[in-house]
Amino acid sequence: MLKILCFKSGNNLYGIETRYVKEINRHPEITAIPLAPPMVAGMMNLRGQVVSLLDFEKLLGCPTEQPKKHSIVLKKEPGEADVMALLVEQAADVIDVAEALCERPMPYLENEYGTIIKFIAKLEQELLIIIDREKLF
Amino acid sequence: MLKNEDFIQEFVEEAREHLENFERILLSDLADISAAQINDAFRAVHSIKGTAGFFGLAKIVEIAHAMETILDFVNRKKVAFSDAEIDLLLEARDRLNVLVNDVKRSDTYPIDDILAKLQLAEADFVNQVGQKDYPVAIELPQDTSQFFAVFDFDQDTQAKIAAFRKTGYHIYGIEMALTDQYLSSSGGIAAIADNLTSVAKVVVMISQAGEPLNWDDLKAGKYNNDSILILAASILEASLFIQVIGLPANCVNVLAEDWQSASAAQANVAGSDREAQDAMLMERCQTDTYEGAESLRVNIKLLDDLMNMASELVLGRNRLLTLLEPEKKKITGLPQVLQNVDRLTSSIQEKIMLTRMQPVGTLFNRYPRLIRDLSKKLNKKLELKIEGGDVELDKSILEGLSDPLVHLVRNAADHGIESAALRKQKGKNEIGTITLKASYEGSVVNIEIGDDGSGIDFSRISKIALEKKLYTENELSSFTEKELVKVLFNPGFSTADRLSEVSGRGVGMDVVRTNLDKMGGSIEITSKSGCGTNVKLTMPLTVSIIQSLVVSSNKIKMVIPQADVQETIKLKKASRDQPIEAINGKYFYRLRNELLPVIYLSDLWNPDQVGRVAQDHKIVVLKLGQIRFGLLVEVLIGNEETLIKPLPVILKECGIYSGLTIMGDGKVAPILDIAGIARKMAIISDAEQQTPLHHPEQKAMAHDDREDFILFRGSGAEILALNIARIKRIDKIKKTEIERVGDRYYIHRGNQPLRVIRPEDYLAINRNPYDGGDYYVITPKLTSLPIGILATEIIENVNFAPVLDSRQFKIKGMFGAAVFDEKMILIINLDALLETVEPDSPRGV
Repeated sequence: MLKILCFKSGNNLYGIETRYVKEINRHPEITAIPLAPPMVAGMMNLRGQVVSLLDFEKLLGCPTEQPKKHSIVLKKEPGEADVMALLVEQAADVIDVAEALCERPMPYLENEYGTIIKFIAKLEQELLIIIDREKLF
Repeated sequence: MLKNEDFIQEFVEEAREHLENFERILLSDLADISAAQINDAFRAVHSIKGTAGFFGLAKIVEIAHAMETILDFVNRKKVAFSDAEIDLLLEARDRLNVLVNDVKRSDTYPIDDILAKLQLAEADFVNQVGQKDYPVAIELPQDTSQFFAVFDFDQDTQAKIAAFRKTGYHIYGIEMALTDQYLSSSGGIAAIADNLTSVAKVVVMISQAGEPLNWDDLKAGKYNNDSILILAASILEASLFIQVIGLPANCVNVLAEDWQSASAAQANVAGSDREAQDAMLMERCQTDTYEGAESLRVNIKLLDDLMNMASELVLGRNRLLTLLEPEKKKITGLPQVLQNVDRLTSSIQEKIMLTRMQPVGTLFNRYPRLIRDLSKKLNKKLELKIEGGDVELDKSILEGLSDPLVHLVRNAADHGIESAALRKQKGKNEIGTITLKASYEGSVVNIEIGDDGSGIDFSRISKIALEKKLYTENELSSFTEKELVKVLFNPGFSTADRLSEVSGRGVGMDVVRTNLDKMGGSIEITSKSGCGTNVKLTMPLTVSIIQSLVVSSNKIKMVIPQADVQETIKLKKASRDQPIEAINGKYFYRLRNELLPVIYLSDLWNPDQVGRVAQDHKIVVLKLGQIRFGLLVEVLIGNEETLIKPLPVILKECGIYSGLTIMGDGKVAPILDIAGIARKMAIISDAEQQTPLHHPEQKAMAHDDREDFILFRGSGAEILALNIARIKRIDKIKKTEIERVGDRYYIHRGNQPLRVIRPEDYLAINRNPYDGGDYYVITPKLTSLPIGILATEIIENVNFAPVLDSRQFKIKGMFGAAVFDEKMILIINLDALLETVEPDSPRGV
């Protein structure tokens, strides 16, 4: 079983394993930084710690105009200097996904998403795109 | 084996202090070393030996013991010291220092060589003294348990003895006959008391009749010609103890271990709270040890944590004050409470900062040794003068200064001071003087390293700069002396004619400046031909919190370090007399008849704003070394204390920020890097860019201009560079793996195609058809579209601070050109390049 935090962005349902997630914030106060690379949505203050907020859709390369409500703060992996967060449209539930439902991504999707998809889980109602934390940055 | 991990760190710290003292004493002028000082040196080594013995650190004990023996000859047998012995003792001290610093593995170090040398010296001494005075065998004290019957071992005494035993002390019973002869030979009762208390702790002291005694009575001469009985605890072994206190062996009795345990059983019955008493006693012993010293050892990590928390507290306070400002009138008593919290927070922060302050003397005192060694190596006569050792600096700054100072002192000794013969010829004192001086100046500390040598030879600087092709002859001839001084800071410049052991590895001043920059310090060199050179370092007192000016432009708040701000000027739309004037899109302001280049802050990220709205602007006049320029902002928000947070890796490329901060309203704001802005807007010229002699801007602790780049080549000859922070991986592929679809190229990554580009196809640089076998694919990260960059050759990884020339190089997709290792490299602006590749891809912010 994989514990997955689901979130909506664009028209798709994405997921990230909860073990990579530190916390979720609603309506983060973002400071935009001029001249920053395009996918940097800005910086936010997480109880005294500066967090770099990346626009998940821009990171993926398929931006939409939808308002983004939530930020998913990721745990710092060894070797990373800064705390990162993903700015997403809307965070949803944490669900258990059986490995049996997961399939490796197919080349068909690769052009759009590069290599950041870890699995595609065939949920009853829809498909869940589980992203690969290690290949995000 | 190590017996007690908890105490070992304490031992190391103590031993270091002792070794420092030891060195200081031995470095005093040979003729001036008094018997008391030798005694101090002896005790320093001695206490190391004692504690090391307790921890079972055999090798440390061996060296310390051998050193002690030598010192003992000088101390007690009045053998004269020579320079050779001092050298030997210093060498032994260094060896001991190595062992102490790696205490856990100290037993693995070879020490036979140094022991042999020390024994040789000892043998020399033995010959000098002659066999007669040298006690071949030391009489051992008797184990006469009945002697102890005279003491009344009450519960208190029992507990004390037990506590001493626990920490490795031996318990001695001393019968001291205070005869006139003994008193006169040992320098009076006061000297006896000092001597005894220096090596032992007196547990009980009684007269023959059994009445308790104290030193005061004895010093008053009450018990002369009487015998007194002392029960004392000492870390020393019996043979040494007897030697040190200078009594006949039969007057000293050892209290046997089992004797104690037998009576301890009794004590156990008597007092159930023995443990508590022990603890109390240990504490008392501790305070005894630090008697007189009103200081306390604290782990530096704890201080760092406290410092960080205090900084957070200050920010929390600022935030609270901002939030509650509107409520002040509504809630009774609130203003007083806020004021109180405000004041207390400030003083807590101030006090915690103070705990980290250390006198510069602790640093300066390391250099007499260096001077002594240098003087031998260089065969010059040198003298070091130290002034202002009591000036205090933050510990981390002090530590950071250590290496630069070593370098500067070496430089002064090696390049500055002339040889003795030459000095004589010039009519100078043969002995060259190097001065280390610290002084306060406002909120900074100046540290000066001066010498009375020959001064900087400017013609030689030009010659070498020319030889090393750092500048052209024309440039050099037009340089003023001040500009020539800057050449010294050029990486790779070194005036040493030969590579010497002392200095001249050619990295010198450049590294010094980088280190100082990191701490927010600056360096200034003045020199007078024939009279000497003076290097002045200006350091901030503390780090991490800076005074800053908050401004805003386009509704974006930015922070400018107050140290960079010279003044602020308010421009009124209405007043016509002082407008901003423009030449070719560059703006100027007439500041008291001087032309001040000015930049619209918002121009940095939003250039070419057509039809700029005429509104009230404010000019923040900034100083960057000798250069001044103005930053035009819309709103001056005010002054604030700012805690510097390191700049995230992804923002380093922006080039105009030095760090981030969290402001009173809880929002993050960037701290502007004034030097970066000046560079970006080409305010400073090339020469100044390369050697900004004066760097007053405060920088984040973690901030460093140096960045890691991968150098590679496309099909052309140009060397391209990409910031490693933006690279995910690099793979080697065969040319056959690249497939062409229309005008695009793809490779297989996993099972999927990945688009790859030849950067030269999108940049205005040379390109050739490619005929080699292998390509490299550089996969960048944090890009808006998955893509690979093709390279024919990966040259190397380099770490350097790029000095960008973006005026001569206006190639789209590039940050500009920089020179590294005498080669020109082109630094790719990944985001701009990708935009050229895929103009439709999203652009943010």
